Amino acid sequence: MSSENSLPARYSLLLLAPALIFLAICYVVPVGYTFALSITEPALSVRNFLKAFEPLHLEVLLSTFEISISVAAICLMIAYPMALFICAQTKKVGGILLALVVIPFFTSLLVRNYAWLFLLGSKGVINSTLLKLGFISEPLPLMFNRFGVIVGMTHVLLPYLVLVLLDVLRGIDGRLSQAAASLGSGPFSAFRRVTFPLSRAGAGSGFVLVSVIALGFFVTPAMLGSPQDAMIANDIASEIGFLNWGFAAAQGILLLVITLVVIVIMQKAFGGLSMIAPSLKPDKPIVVRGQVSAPHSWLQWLDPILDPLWPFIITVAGILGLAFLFLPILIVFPLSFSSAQYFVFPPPGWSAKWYFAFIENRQWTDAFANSIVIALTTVVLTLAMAVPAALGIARSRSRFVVGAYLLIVSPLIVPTIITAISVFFAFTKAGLGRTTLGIALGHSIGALPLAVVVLVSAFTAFDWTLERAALSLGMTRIKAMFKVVLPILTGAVATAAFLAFLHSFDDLLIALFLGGISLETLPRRMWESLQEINPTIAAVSTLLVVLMTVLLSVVQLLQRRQEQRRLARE
Amino acid sequence: MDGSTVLAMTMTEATGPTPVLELAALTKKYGSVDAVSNVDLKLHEGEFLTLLGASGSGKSTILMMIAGFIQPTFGDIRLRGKSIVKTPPHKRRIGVVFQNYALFPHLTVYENVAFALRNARMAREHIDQRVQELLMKVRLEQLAHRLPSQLSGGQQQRVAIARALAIDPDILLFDEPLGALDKNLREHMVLELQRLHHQLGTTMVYVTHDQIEALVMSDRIAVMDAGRIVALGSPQELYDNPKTVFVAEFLGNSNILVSEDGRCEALRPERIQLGSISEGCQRSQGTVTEVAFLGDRVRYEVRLTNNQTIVVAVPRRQGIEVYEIGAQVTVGWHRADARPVTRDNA
Amino acid sequence: MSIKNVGVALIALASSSVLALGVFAQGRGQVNVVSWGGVFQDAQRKAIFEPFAKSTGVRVVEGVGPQIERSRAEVASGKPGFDMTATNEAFFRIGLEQNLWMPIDYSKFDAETLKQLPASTRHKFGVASLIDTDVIAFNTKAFEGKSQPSGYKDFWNMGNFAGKRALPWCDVGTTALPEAALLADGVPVDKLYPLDIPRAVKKLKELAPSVIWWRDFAQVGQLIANGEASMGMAPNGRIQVLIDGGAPLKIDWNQTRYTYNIWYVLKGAPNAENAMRLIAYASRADVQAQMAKLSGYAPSNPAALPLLDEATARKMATYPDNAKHIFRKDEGWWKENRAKWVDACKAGLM
Repeated sequence: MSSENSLPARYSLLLLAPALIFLAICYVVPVGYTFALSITEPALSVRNFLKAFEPLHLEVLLSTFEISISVAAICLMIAYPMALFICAQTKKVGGILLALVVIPFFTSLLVRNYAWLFLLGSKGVINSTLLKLGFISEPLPLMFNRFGVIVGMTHVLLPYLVLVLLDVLRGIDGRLSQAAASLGSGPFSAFRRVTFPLSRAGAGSGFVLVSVIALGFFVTPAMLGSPQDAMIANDIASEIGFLNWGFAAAQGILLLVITLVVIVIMQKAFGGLSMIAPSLKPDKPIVVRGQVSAPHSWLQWLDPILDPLWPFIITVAGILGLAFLFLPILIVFPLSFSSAQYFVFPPPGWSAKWYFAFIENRQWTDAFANSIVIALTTVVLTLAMAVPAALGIARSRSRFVVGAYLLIVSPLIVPTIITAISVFFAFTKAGLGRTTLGIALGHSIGALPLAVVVLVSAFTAFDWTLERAALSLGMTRIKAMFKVVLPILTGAVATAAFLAFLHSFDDLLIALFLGGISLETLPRRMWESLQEINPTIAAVSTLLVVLMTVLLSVVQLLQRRQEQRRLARE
Repeated sequence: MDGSTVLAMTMTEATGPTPVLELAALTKKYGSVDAVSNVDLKLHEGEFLTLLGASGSGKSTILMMIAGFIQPTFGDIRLRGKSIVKTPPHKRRIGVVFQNYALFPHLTVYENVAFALRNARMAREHIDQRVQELLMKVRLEQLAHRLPSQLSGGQQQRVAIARALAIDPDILLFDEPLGALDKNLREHMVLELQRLHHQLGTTMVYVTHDQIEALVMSDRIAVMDAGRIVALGSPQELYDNPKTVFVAEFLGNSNILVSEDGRCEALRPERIQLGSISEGCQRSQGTVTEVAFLGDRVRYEVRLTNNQTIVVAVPRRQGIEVYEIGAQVTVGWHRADARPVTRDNA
Repeated sequence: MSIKNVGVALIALASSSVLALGVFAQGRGQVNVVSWGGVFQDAQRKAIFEPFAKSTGVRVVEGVGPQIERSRAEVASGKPGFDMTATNEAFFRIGLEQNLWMPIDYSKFDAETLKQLPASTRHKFGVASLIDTDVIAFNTKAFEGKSQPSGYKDFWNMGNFAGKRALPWCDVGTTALPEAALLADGVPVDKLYPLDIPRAVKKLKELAPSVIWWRDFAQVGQLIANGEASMGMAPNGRIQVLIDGGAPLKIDWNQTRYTYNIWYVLKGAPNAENAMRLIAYASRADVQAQMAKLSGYAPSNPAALPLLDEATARKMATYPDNAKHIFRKDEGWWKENRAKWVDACKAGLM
C-alpha cells in the first residue's frame, strides 16, 4: 500500500472507535477487574505470581505453547495443499469444495471428541481395521497421547487456516504462475518461487491466528491427550472451579503477556507487523530483504523430482485433507441413528428416536432457536465494529494502530473462562445478564478479532484506486464503501461473518454464565446432555450438518441461477 | 514494410520451409460456445503477426493455447513441425509478455530477468552476464536492483520483455501489452517494440484491439471476429483492399457506399477530395453537416444529394479552403479507390 | 445476509430478550434451582420438584450446571439468578469459606425429619441431599468367564486383571485417587486419614503405565463401556446411568468412599424462603426414598432406606451388604490438603 492510500490518524481513530469503546467497556474493564484478583486474592500479595512461576506451572505453560505451535504448523502443512487444490478448480467446483471444508465445522466440538474416541481408540475403527487386515498385531497408541491431541485440535483449527489461505491465494494474480510457467518453471518450481513467497505473509498471519486460538483449548486436549499434554486453560479452569480465582487470574495474565510478547517478537523478526497484518508495513513491499537475491535456491534440486508430481500431490493432499475433515462425521452419523442409550460404535441397532427426542423436546428446539438468534446478532454486531476497525488498521500508518490491533486480538488469548466470569459481573450490573443481547455482546468480544484479522488482510490487498474512482464519480467515502469496496470484498466479508457466526454458535462458557439459569443455547444444551452421554447430541449434530449442506446448496443454486439470468440478459 | 512481408504473403498458401508455428483447425469450446473456431495459421521465421479483434473475438484464447495455459478442444499446434499440444507450458520455450506484465512483485528487476535462467540451472557468472545483456537490450541496466513497484509502466513493460527473452524463445507472445499505458508512452513503446523486433529477429505474435498498433508493427495482421480469422494479410493489403465491410470498418475508418442494387463499396475518407477535384474522378454534390478540426487534417461529414452521409478527411496544406457547416461542396474520388466489399464475413 | 434478515433477527432478538426477562421476574411464589440435568434432574423433578410445587403452590424454575464458580459469580453480582443448588460437600465447604451461602432455616423442617437426620448431614449453611460415592466400575465383557475384580488390590493387579485402568487425573475434583492407591498398598481403611501423600503417589506411579487418565466426568463411563479401559474409578451415578442404558458395566462396592451432596442457598437469593421450604421438603424420608428409587443414589436420610423395595435397596451404597465395604471421606483433610495433594501428584506423575 502506498502512502497516498493511508488515512490521517484522526480518521483511523474514528474508524477504530466503535470497536475500542466496545472492548473498553465490555472487555478491558471487566477482565481487568478479574485480573486485579491476582494480587488481592486470597490476600494482597504477589504470591500468586510467584506460584505461577514454579516449575510445575511453567512446564504447563511451555507445553501449551509447544502444542499450539505444533498444531498450527501441522495445520499449515495440510491447509496449504488444500487451499492450492481448491484454488486450482473452476469457480463452481471450488465453491463446492469450500462448502465441504466448512460443513464439518457444524459437528459440535463436544460430539467430535467422542467421535475421535471411536476412531482412534485401541478398540476404535482404525485400530480394529488394521488389526483385522494384519498390518499390526497390537493396537497403535493413537490417542491419550500427543498424537491424539494434535489430531483433535488440527481438526478443529484446519478450516480456519484453509479459509485464510484461500483468501490469500485468491488475491495473487493468476498470471504470475502462468508467467513462471512460460519461463520454464514447472508446477512445483512455480509454487516454490512465486506462489509461496507471495502468500508467505498471509500464511504467517494465519499461522499466528491459529496458534493463538489453539492456546485457549482445553476440552479437546483433556479428552484426547495424556496429562503430559496439559494446556494452561485446563489448569486455569480447574483453579476457577475451586474458587482460586487469584491464582487463575495470575496464570491468565502470564499467558496473555507472554503471548503478546511472542507476537511482537515475531513481527520484529519477520519484518514490521506483516506477520499478523501484512498491511501494517505501508511503504515497503511485503518481502523479506534477504530473499530478494537468491530465492530458495537450496531447494532447487527438488524441482525435477516434484514438478511432474506436484499437481498429483496437491490433488491427493487436498482430497485427503477433506477426507480428514469428514472423518468424525462418519462416526457421528451412525451414532445418531443408534438404538443404544449411550454412545456405542458400531451401534447395536438402528432407531430414529434421538431425532424425535430432539424435535419433540422444547428445551432442544428453544436452545436451537436461541443459538441462531444469538449467532446472527453476534454477526451483525461484530461486522458493524470489525469493518471500520479493519479499515482503520489497514489504511493507517500511525503507531497507535499496532496497540489497537494487539488489544483487539487479545480476547483470543485470554482464556474464555476468565472472560466469561468477568463479563458476567459487568453485564449483570448493566442489566444485560440473562438476555440474548448480553450473550451476543459477550460472543462479539471473541468474534471481533477473528473478523478483524480476515478483513485487515482483505483491505490491505484491495486496489484502492477503485475507491478513488468512485469518489471521483461524486460518491461519498461511506457510499463508496458500501457500493464499491464491500461488494468487491464480499468473499472476505462473508468469511468474517461466517467465523463470527461459528464462534458464537460453538461457544459454551459465555452462554453458561450469561444465560442465567434457563436461557439455553445449543452447546449449553449439548453439554448438559453430555453429563449423561445422551446420543441426542449426535442427532443434533447430524441435523446441523444436513441443514448446512442444504443451505449451502441452495445458496449455490441461487447464485448459479442469478448468473444464468445475468448472462441471458446480456 | 520490408521485403519479408511480400515473402510471407506469398507463402500463406504455398508450401515452403517448415513454419515456426502452425495452428491447424484449432478450436476451443466452452460448453456450447465456440471461443475459437477452426483456426488455421502458419507463422514464419522472424515474422511479426498481429491478432487483431474486439474483446471476446477469441484472440487472447488463441494466444493462451499457444502458450499452453488453455487446452484446445481440438486441432493442433505445431512448433517447428512438432505438435506441442501435450507439452506442458513450462517445457514449450515460448515467451509471453502479459497484459499488466505479471512481473513478480517480490523479486527485483534483476531476479525477474534471471528467473528463467535459474530454472535452467545456469552458472552464476553466466546468469550475471546474460541478465546484463538483456537489460542492456531494453535499456534498463541502471535499474537492475529496483522492485517492479518502483518502476514506471513503460519500464515494467521492458522488464517483461527482457524476462521473456531470457529463455531464448522460439516465439514471443504479447497479450495486449500496451493497454495500460497512456497514449504518448504507447506510441513510444510501439516504436521500441518495432526496434526490438528488427534487432532480435524473433518471431512474434501480438494480440491487440488497437488497429494503430497492428498497422504500425505487423508483417501480417489476422483480423478476428467471433472466434474466426476473417482476414489475413499485410497491413497495406488489408487497409487498401479490405474484402468485407467488417474489415474495412475495423481497420481504419471507411465509408461504406451502398448502391441501389445493394452492393457495397468501401471508400477511405482520406481518398476523397473536396472542392477542387482532380481529373478522372467521380463527382458528387453535397452539404457539409459537421466539421472537426484534428490538427493535421480536417474531418467533414458531407450529406450527398442521394441523402447518404460520407466522411471526408482533408489534410491541412496551404491553399486548401476550410468549409463551414452548411456549405455546398463538391466531392470526388477515383473510381479505383472505392473497393467492392461484401457484408458477409465468411 | 440481507437487510430483511437482519431485521427479522433483531425483532426475534428483542422479543426473546423480553421473554428471558419475563422468566426471571422475581415472583413471590417461585424458587430457582440449578441441578445436574439429564436423567438425574428428571428424577429430582418427579421425586421432589413437582410434588413440592403441587403441595405448596410454589413454582419451581429449573436450570442446569451447578458449578461453584457460577454460584460465586451469581452471589458477587448481588442479584443471584438462581436461589439454590446441591453439589458435593467439598465444593460446599469451599463456598462456605468464601461466605457464599445463607444459613439454613431449620424452622421450616418438620420435627420428625429433623430427628431422622444424623448430625453429619446437617450443617449451619447446608443440608445433605444424597450420598455420593466413588466406586470401582468394570466392563463385564472384559472379565467374562473369569474371576471379577473387587477392591483396589485387584485394581492394581495387572497380572490377574488385564486391560487399562481409567482414573481421574490429579486435579479433577476431590476424587478418591490417593485413597485408592493407599488401599491398594495395604493401608487399612481405619488408618487412611490423614493420607500419606508420598506413599499414595509412589503407588500410583506403579500403575501409571496402564492408566488412561480422564479429566471430564462425562468421559469415564464411556471409556469403560467402550472397552478402552477394562475398569476404572467413577462416581456411582455416572455408571448407573450407563448400566440402565444397557452398557456392559458393573459396580464393585468394595472399598467405596462416600460423601454427601449438600443443598445450599445462595447469599442474596431472591426466593430464599421458598428455597428453605424446598430443602426441608427434599429431606423428608418419603421424598428421599422416591428420589433414591428414581436416581440410584443412596438417601442421606437413613429413615428412607426401609421405605424402599428390596431390589432397589440392594443398589444403594447404604444397603447393609454394601455399607460394610464403604468408608466416609474426610472432608476436613481434603479441604486443608487438596492443593498439596494435587501438586505432589502432578510432580510425581508428569
